[in-house]
Amino acid sequence: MWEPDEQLVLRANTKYKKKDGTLFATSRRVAWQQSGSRQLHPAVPYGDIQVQMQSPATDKNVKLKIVTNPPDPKSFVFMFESSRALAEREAIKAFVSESMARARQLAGDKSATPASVATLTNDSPVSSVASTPAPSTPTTTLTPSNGATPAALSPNLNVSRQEEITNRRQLLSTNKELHTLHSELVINGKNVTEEEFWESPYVQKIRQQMKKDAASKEGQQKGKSSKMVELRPGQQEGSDVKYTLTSQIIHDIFAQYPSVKRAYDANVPDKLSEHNFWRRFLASEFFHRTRTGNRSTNAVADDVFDKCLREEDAENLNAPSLAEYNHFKKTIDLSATAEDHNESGNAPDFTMRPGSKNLPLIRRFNRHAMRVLEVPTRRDAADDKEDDVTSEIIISDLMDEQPFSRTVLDIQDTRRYFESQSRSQDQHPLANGNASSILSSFSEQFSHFEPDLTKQLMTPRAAVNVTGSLTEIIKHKNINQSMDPDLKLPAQVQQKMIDYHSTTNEILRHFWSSFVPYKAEKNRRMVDSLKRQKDKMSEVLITANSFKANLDAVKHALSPVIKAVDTALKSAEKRPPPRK
Amino acid sequence: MLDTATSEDDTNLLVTIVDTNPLAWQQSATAKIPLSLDDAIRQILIFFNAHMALKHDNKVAAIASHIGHCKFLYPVTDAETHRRQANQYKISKDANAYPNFKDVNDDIIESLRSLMLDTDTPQKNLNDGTSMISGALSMALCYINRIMNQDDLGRIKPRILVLSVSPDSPYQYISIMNAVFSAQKMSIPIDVCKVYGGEVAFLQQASHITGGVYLDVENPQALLQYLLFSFLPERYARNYLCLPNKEQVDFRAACFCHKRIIDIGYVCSVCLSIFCSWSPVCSTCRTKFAFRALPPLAGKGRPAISRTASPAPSAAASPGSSSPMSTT
Ligand SMILES: [Zn+2]
Ligand SMILES: [Zn+2]
Repeated sequence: MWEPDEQLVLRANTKYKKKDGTLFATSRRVAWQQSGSRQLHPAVPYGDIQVQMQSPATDKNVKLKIVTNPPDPKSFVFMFESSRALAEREAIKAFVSESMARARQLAGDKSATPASVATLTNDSPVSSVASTPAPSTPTTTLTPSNGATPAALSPNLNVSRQEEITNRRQLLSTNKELHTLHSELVINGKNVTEEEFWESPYVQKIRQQMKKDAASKEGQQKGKSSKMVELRPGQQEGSDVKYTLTSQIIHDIFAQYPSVKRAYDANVPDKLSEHNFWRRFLASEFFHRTRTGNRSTNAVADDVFDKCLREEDAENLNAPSLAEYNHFKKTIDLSATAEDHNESGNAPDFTMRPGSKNLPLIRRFNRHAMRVLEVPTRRDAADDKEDDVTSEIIISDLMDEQPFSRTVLDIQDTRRYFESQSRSQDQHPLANGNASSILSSFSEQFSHFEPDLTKQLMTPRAAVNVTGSLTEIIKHKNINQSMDPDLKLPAQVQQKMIDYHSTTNEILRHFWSSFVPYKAEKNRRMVDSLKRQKDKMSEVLITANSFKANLDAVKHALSPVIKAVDTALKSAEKRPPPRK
Repeated sequence: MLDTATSEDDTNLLVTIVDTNPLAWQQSATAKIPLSLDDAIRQILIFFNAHMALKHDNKVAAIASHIGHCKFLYPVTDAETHRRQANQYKISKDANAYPNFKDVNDDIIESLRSLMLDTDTPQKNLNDGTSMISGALSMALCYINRIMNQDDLGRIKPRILVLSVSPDSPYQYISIMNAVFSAQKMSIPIDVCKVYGGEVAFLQQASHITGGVYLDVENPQALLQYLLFSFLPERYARNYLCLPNKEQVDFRAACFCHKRIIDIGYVCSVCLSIFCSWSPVCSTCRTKFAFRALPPLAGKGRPAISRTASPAPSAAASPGSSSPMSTT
């Protein structure tokens, strides 16, 4: 069973001992629940976890193993099943290791600094079933390596750090490119450290873009659920019926039955314990009636909730006073026209007149509907007056858009601006001192212009040569065009190439950023990474070959990035060796 | 790409823009392989005749792109025709000439004469001596628009051919590009035949954007051969023919400071000027960039500027910053 106040953070469909179920990471523990069951088993509080391990990223099965503390170490292997298995595992893993560190700190274990979390990673493969002998990748922790910690430590560092880590984890699980880059560069390749990865301008750019997207999504406010509180018995054990009251349900009950909220405020915890309050609530006639709509026959009298019942009835019996509404929309005020148009056939409305049997029920529904429609006070409430009918009629979306206030582009010299786009090198190729004499000589020449079209125009030889060279151009063009379709590569090869390309580019960015100004250690590391990356080219070609793709096309497509790597390596070589 | 709007029965309207810039032709006439304007006109007239001979209702129009102004060579206004008939300008009668051809030829020759006789207008608009190509393109588009509006059957399929001898005129960049985009919108291909002079980037882009043919003439003396080979086929035939065309259009940018073609440069985020090195103020639009200065790439370990895209250290991406750009 869930513990009170436990917050669900992450969940993933997993198999445990070949049974389907869900793995939860909560604010307190990791827990697994078999489908259809309510039992949480196994459930391990973070403080009890000694280490977690994972199957290699290349492995077909995505597994996470959790080992508990001695003296009685147990291990649990969860297999991630969904299509986003890898991303889900990364997210849960990161969250668990972070929570482990926190649990240790709470326990006062001084040795459990973030640095020691990193040492907890274990190199043994997670499962002996794994057929690939490849070494398993250790669990990553998103804690900074000590070298990269910013010098300025603020007191609220831990809080912002925590937030940052949560953000990063979320970014990795939502953005595929980031995830690929991260696993290639940080986890598998160990080319760059965690901090270096996130500091890269390219990664930051992606992040900024995602933030913008998220902000526009968040701009839409989610309204309240229109569901009425529904209390279903949870579990039946013999004659006892168990109810589960989560904080959400309690919140909903308070929202729907203000009288209960009043009773709670008046009685808990001075006169009644919280537990007792809710037990009495569930046994009360009030609860029975709200659930079934009928009077209970065997409910015991309860002064607290009988009062609630009376309050509730009174509220539903009387029409709500108009003063309750702080803002009446004139355009939908039915009472304003209730007596109009009787002669044209509109019957007077008697639904809400006192005496109707269903009135309390309708009132209840109406009140509920009002709560659903209640919008948090609008931010721009100041500029529209409450009674202003026009403000209700005018729909801002239909208004003309205000033109943007633009800054005028002030180009000093348009000639220079476009000159660079023409290919002529000299400024005025035709500017000529004796322009007027040329003009008059042309005028002279053409005053008796009478071309003889029967005269021979060109030598046959010249014409043949021109035809030959033009045919040559056409031939060349045809060959190039027929090559194009071969460039269509299988999707897998294309994906592999894209990954290779973006990884290499990111390493190049790290290389250049550590080149000027020169950071010797990092730059050397990047040189090694670049060399390794060059070797990896053959992996791409092997993949391409296995799909029978055009290898030349693949090589050609990747040649710019390889060239860029060569340029970088050459620059690194030219650098004088460090003085000792 | 198949031009599906065309058919065998089309009437083909060929609007030719002839660059008649005397300054450029003067250079061409004294070049290594010389071609004078009157020789060129002879070949162009034969090309026009060939176009008209191809189909009985094929139409031709010619516009002179002169220094600083442009003018219709053919057809001429009715008033002008009357004036010419009155003045008995008619050039020698030729019993062997097909009258339809001869009318066009005579009109163009007469128009050229009067164009050249007027030496005042070009002198006033001398500027840098470049031809009024943007004006000629606009004229051509207006003429095409008029003809097509009169054509109820929608049979007339126009195209534009530019015979260019003078270099790009940076002054006209915007108006040329506006004309080019209009042509693209009206799906009128702009063919370009560069008879003399170096590459012209503007016209190259014009033919690329509109799906026309761009050709550099290597041997100007055989101009007619180029014209007949590459520019005679009408739009319908082009669906089935493989015409010689420039395969790669040079879109690479040159820096505004040295006019050097660069692979990596800094772009002003306000006016899009391109510079080969960073500077705190854009020299084109005077925008001041607020960003932390980047240590210059100078020094011992300076990477050689390579032709391929090698990554440059990027500047801080604060608003209003100039960011590195790579062109390929
Ligand atoms: Zn420059
Ligand atoms: Zn600028």
